[in-house]
Amino acid sequence: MLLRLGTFGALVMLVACNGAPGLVRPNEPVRVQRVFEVESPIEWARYRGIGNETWTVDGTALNRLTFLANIRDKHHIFGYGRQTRRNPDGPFFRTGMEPNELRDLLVDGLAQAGFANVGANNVQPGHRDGFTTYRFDLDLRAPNGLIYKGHALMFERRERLNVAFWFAPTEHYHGRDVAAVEQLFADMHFRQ
Amino acid sequence: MFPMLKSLLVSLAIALVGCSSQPLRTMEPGDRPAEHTDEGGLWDALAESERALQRSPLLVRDEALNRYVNGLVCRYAGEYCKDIRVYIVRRPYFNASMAPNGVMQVWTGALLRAENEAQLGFVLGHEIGHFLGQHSIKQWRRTKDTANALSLLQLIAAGSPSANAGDAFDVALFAAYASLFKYSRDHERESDQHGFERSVALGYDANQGWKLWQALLAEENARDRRKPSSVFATHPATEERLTTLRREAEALAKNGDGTGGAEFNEALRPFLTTWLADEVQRRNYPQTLVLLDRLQSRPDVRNAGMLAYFRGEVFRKRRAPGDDKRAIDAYVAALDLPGYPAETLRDLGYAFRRVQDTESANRAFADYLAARPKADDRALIEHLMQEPVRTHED
Amino acid sequence: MQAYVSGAGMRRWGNFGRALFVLCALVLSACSSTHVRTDAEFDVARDLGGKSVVLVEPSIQLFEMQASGLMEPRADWTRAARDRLPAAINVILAERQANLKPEYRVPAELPADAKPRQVLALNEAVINTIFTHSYLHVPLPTRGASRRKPLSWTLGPGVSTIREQTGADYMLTVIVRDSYTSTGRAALMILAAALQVGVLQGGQQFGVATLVDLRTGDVVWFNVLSDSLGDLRDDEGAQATATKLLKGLPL
Repeated sequence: MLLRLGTFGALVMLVACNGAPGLVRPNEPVRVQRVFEVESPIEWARYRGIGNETWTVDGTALNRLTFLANIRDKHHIFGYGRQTRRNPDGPFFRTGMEPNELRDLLVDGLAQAGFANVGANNVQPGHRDGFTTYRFDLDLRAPNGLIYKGHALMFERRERLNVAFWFAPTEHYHGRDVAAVEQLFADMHFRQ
Repeated sequence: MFPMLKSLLVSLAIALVGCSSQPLRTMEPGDRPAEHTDEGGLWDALAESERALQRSPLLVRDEALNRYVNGLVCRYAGEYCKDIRVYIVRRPYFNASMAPNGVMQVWTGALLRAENEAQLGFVLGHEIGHFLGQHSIKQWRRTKDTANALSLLQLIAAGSPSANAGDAFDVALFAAYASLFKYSRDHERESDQHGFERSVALGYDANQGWKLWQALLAEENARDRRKPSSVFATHPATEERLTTLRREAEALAKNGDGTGGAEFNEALRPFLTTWLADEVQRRNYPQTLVLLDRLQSRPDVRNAGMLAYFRGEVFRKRRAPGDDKRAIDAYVAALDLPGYPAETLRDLGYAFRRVQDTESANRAFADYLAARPKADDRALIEHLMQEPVRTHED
Repeated sequence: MQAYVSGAGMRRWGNFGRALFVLCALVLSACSSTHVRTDAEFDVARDLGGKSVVLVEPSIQLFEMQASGLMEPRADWTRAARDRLPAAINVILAERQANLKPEYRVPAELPADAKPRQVLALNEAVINTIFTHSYLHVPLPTRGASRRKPLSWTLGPGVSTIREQTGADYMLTVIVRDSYTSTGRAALMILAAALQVGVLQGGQQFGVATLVDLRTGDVVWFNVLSDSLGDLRDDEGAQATATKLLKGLPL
């Protein structure tokens, strides 16, 4: 209550983290969750979880780059359990989803995590390392009204979903890092 | 602990629950509570929350919609109109709430679910009933007393590991909780009564209140039982409230038949697409289907194409066995109805792809691009028209 | 706000144990601490005489802690504290040759997207971030491993909008939540100690303050105050709280 810490509490919950955080150094290739191969022009703090990683420069409320790897059929996009007969409805990944469905998964998942007015547009298809990728822009607000912008990349690999998304407040932080993150996304590769 | 002391403490705790004897203030229009009172404290803390609400990204600021809802609140509140400040909040659940300092929140999920002005008016009248009955402050005092008693009981339980003390604790605890819940049900009943009486006095059809509760109850019963996200944020519809309202409406010697004019539809229509999209985003499909059925069966339904489109969206997103076919049927039906959005064609294309009918899919995509030459997803759609369909099993 | 249940082994300690327990309870409830961090340039003495500071949307709320631990807001205390604390801050700043501009609040009619609102929403996010990584010590490798690391957070140049609105050189943010033990709570605390079932927490003062340079947007100073004896209900207490809250302020 005091500092409205709850504002970002939901975000912290988005991804469970284990172990001590590490550091991603500029221009050194890094393998993320055995799926993504990333080389970043800027430095990041790196929080590794099981099947997910979150990178941030200044703290996750100020910039957040999240990787979700190997989400299996019928599993929740943010790892909140799986689809069952008793729990049929939610942002669960299904193998073979079309790009609009993939986009809806992330949008609905972020809305469920407490963001307001989550929007995704400008979906761009692409091909990389033999996979079909979909990239789109994100636009969302924290409960205190702070506007965030960023983008996301999703692709299916071995019938499992992989996601990378980044967002930062439009006030100062998005503009400061957007070029570096664009480059990071453009240079990203995926293991076969 | 000494048995005597223990029983003394337990009776003290039970006595505390029943000691909410502080008188309510006489509430004249324009009144404020004295600063040194508990109510004054709540008002002050709420002023801070109101400022946060004013800058919330969820606040719907549309002038015409606010003017309409405010006007209806004023009709129901009469001379207390100036004491109530209405905030429309974009959340897809059925809720309206009333803070003791006059801040009324109406969620868009409630606006979407009201079929006419009379139903919305009943909900607003219900909230005004909470305000005039000073229910929040009563509830606060009750909570305070109960919590104080409970915390005393926790001490007793902590101090005595014996089974006896456990019994005394459980019994007293149960009594304390029961009194808390009973209290709030009384408030709901009283507020229903107020909403009902104001509706009758303003000449609205007295049956609209129970009809709304009945519809909400149907939605509630359709929900996924395992899911915490019920459509009700705070106001559970119960059979008891429904029957009470219905009996009273039927007992009336003279019943108005007004359900309100066209202003209701005019004020809400610009937002239906957004609110329906928010509703589908909840991903609680059984409830949404019940709601869509009801909205579609309204006698004056004018946006049938839109409703059919969102029915298709429910099936497209749900992907239960048979939903692919249902989605196609719903989108195709929408195309024959007034008010369908251009996205119907695109999403029909997606639906055809799911049943491996590439030819029909590409025809629907082509129609979409023809209808929306400047669509921002043109590149994606053109890509899909080249992309082979994936096979998958459910 | 629950009782810590820790009494089981106490019984056989007899009167000595009881006395020790009550003593511990008193000691525990009388702690006071501050957590000051400044940016790296603080070492280079800042001569900021004549600079102006604006207090922006201070958030001050006083509560009375009920017997159960439930916090009841008190408007009379809060109003007085909202007058007294800024006045006490003003006195301290005046002593250091800085002047306090009139308190600034974003006009209510401005929508959430308006620039000043976004800057203050970012300020809130930055305060949460510093609180998490500096005060709660959640590690952030990009900021080094040292616990007493200097501050290095910024709101960016967008803060110029606040400077234009207020004419101030620095923006001071103050968040204070202060609770006081009610008689019912005090009785329960004594009872808990006497029954040897645990230590109940009484009223607490908690505050966070930051100073932002309105030319660069950098957060130049940050402090967390936690005090179980602080009292904003009289002038003397307000003065003492302001002194602790502004501890290490580079002005």
